[in-house]
Amino acid sequence: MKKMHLTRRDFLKTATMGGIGLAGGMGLGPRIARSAEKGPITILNLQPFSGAYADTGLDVSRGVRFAIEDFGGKVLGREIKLIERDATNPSDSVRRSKEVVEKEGCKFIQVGTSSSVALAVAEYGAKNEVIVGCHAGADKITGEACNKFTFRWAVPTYGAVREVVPRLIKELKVNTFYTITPEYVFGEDLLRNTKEVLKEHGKELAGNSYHPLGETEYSAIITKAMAAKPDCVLFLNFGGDTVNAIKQAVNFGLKKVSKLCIAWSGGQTEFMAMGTKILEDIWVGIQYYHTIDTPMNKKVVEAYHKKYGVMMPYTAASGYQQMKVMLEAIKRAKSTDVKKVIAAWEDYEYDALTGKEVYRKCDHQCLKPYYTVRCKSEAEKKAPDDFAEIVGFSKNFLPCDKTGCKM
Amino acid sequence: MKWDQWKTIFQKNLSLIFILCIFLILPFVLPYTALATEILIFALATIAFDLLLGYTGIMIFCQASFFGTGAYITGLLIHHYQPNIFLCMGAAILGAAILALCFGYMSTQRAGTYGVLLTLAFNELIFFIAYQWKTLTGGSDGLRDIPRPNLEIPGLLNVNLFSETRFYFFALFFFVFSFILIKKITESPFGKVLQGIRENETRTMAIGFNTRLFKVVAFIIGGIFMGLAGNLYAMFMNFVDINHVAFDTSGKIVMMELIGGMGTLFGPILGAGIVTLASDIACAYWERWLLILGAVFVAFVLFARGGVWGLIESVRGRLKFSRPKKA
Amino acid sequence: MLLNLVIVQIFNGLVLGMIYVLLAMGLSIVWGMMNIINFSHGLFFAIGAYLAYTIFSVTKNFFMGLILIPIGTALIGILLERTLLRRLYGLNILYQILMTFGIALMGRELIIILYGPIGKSFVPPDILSGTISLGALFFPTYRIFLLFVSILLTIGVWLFIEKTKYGSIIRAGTEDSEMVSALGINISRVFTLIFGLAMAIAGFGGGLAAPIRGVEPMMGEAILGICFAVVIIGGMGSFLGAIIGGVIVGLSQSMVALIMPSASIIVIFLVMALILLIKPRGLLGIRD
Repeated sequence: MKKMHLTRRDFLKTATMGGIGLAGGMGLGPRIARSAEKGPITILNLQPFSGAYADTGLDVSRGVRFAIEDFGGKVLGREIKLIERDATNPSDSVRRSKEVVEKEGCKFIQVGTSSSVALAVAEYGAKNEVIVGCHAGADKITGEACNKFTFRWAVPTYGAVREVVPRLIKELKVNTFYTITPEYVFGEDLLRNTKEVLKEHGKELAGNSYHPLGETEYSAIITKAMAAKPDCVLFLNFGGDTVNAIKQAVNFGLKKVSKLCIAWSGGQTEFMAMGTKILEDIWVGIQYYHTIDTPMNKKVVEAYHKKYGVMMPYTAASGYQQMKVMLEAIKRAKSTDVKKVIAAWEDYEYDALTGKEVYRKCDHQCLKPYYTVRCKSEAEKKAPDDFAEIVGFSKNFLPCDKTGCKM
Repeated sequence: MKWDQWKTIFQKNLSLIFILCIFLILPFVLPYTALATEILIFALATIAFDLLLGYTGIMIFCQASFFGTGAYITGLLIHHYQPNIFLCMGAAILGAAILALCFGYMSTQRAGTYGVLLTLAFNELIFFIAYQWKTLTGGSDGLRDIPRPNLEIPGLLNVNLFSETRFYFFALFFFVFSFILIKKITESPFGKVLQGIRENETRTMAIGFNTRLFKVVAFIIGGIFMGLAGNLYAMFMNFVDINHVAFDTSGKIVMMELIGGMGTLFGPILGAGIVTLASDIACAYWERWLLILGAVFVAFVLFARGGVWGLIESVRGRLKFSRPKKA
Repeated sequence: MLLNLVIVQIFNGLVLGMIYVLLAMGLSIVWGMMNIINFSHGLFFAIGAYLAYTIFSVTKNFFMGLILIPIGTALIGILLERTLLRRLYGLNILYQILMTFGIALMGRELIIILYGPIGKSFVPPDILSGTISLGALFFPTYRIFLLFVSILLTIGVWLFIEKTKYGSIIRAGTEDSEMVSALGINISRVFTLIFGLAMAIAGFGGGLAAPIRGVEPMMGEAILGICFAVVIIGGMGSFLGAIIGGVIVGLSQSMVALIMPSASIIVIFLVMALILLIKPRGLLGIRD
């Protein structure tokens, strides 16, 4: 095998080209973003519009547009230009962010609902001084991965578990729990918090089963859970995994042995995927439900129903609420200067769908309630989409010094 | 005469110089620089694949394994140790090469499509290892916090690569270098043997070549450049994501290769450009644009197996015949 | 108590394994006979599940679905084979493989356009829901039904291949398709038959598995990777190998799930790699 060799000519050719290029690049420097204090304000909405979570993307998008409409399509006298891009995986999301930030001088991003996407975009935002509103649940987002430019509306797993589990203990007199956990950062967070709460209440974890994300085969786990005979089987997964796991659990007859509870649910969309027959009597923890009793929520839910024909799901509420807060912060700051908007956003209490909310300064986490609902039986339903009733809610958050967030 | 020498070089490498000019102005022509970098890096990966498929006739589905391994090694090194940028490159290339050696050895054991299936299964294996080994790769969360290292030659040079434009030209340098290298390989005697294997492996064996050895070496070379592409991508994105080793990435490279034009080295560049640009533009209009991409791909498989480059060549060919010969 | 768990898990492993067997059979036959690595095989599994959902929504009759689905997927498969794949016969096999890849991509997107990106809810029909208990053990009725039906189908296909004239053509073609052609048999018609048969079984598997696995657009891709591993483990071109491979994979997945659920999928590929090192042709591989 004859060894090929690079002639001096070729090497010089390449080196010259490379040198010119680098020099050229250095001279030109970073692309100048076309932003001005006039002209439309660009907001980027990165949601999964294709792939497995496309329905959540669509709903968040509806909520975001709804908020912009509510605002009259303008803020500070300037038109709001909403750019929406598909974000199913972190690489594409960051690339789209680069695209819109570079091309349009965009300084405001809303990103949901996958934790890995949100974390990647939040990091990008921090490096490039772009405000990012997250719609994902991983604790890290306002914990160790927090930064000055990122805000997050949803209650992290800490608060979710501390509403649901004590509620189950109090109302249903549950003593022993069995948990089903997805092998995902998010699942680990939920489990860790569950264990802490159980310890505080002197209750037992009869056992735990892990499963990979996207698992379709829950027979092993369900069998083990049934053998342990716990008072309650707590599902710590989400989305399609929860739907599959619950369906199979009910199919195996688990309901006859234990109470079933879902700690973290997308709400209405998942309820529709499972159906009342399966959901009957299951307790579910959610960020938001359309029956929340505040004047603002009633108004918005009705308007949403008028426009889209369905009860506003959690993802749409998340899109609506966080977009509204972002626009209001811009308005209060009287400027699109990122630092001023951040200052206007943090520590400001406002009227929200869930009542009074505030994004606290230390970690940019929104302090809002988490809800527990009980799924109704066919007989109890007053309408086809009347799946559940709220049985309790509370606000639970780690104190600032315990979140691991250092801003 | 010196001028004549340069003129010959120019004429012989017209296509290369043309491509180079395009790439020099690309970041300023496209709506945003990051798009150009994406095209560049995938063009590199596809050219590496072209060496395997277009020149040696070996079909693989483990492109993502090599690409992703390069990316993960780079990401891990930078995340934990922040070493010199060239050290990262070297490590990424080495890792991908070792993997390519293993995969190449195992899939060339038997003739036929069995090897192709093996590469697919190996890719799945790598994917699930990356998915499972969360402490190493971050699992489905991916590896974040990978700041771009400086272009550093100790004692000589220390250039910050934060700006997208600077990083583009940095990547372009390596792209051009790799392209010329791969082109030289295809034109060398070694490359001729590879093409012989593609045309008729039995005959090549009969002549006396150890075709298996050649195939494995082709694997390694392909793996090296795909690993380099992965390395550049990790630095470009500032994170490494499980999708980098997923079958989808392999599939994307396969589409770029076919749509661009196999066995031409220029085809893959076109393919990377077309697929990246088309998906970028299309996804703003219709979430289901993949359907169109799939349809285009199927159309190419049916009617234009030489890819866009092949179409260009055939048009050029027809023009040549229709042009009257100069006296 | 542990013994109970193990027994139930063996049962679940067999059920899962039989689903894999149904798919692997088709994959292996198509590869063996036509040399095509069929990427669209998973798509037909998904089509079967979606057809089951649609037929059930419209007619409320699950069993009618089971009969109609294989006919439906066979027809779709034959249509695709005749219009798209056939044009590429005689060319390098690569193009046929690429074609199936393109079909799989387009098919998945079409499903999403027609049915939406979220999964559909599908529960077993009332007669088959519920569990049968033997002492402390619970066996969902539907899974017993699935096991029963898939074993019957597998035996049926085996009989077809071993005992009928068409079956012997298939077996011969798996060994040497050129020779079969030389014997005057219309090889392209045989190809169409093979492809249709394989897609019928795949679709049937999808419909049968839908009540336990669910119905969602990515389900084809998710299971295809595992089925490739099954075929590699069992040995390409071997019908019996597909069966043994499927059962081994199903059992190992479910037993590992008892101990370390997250490793249940990766174990399959590790087992595959191990078998390749010891027996490069797979356990019962014959084709070279």
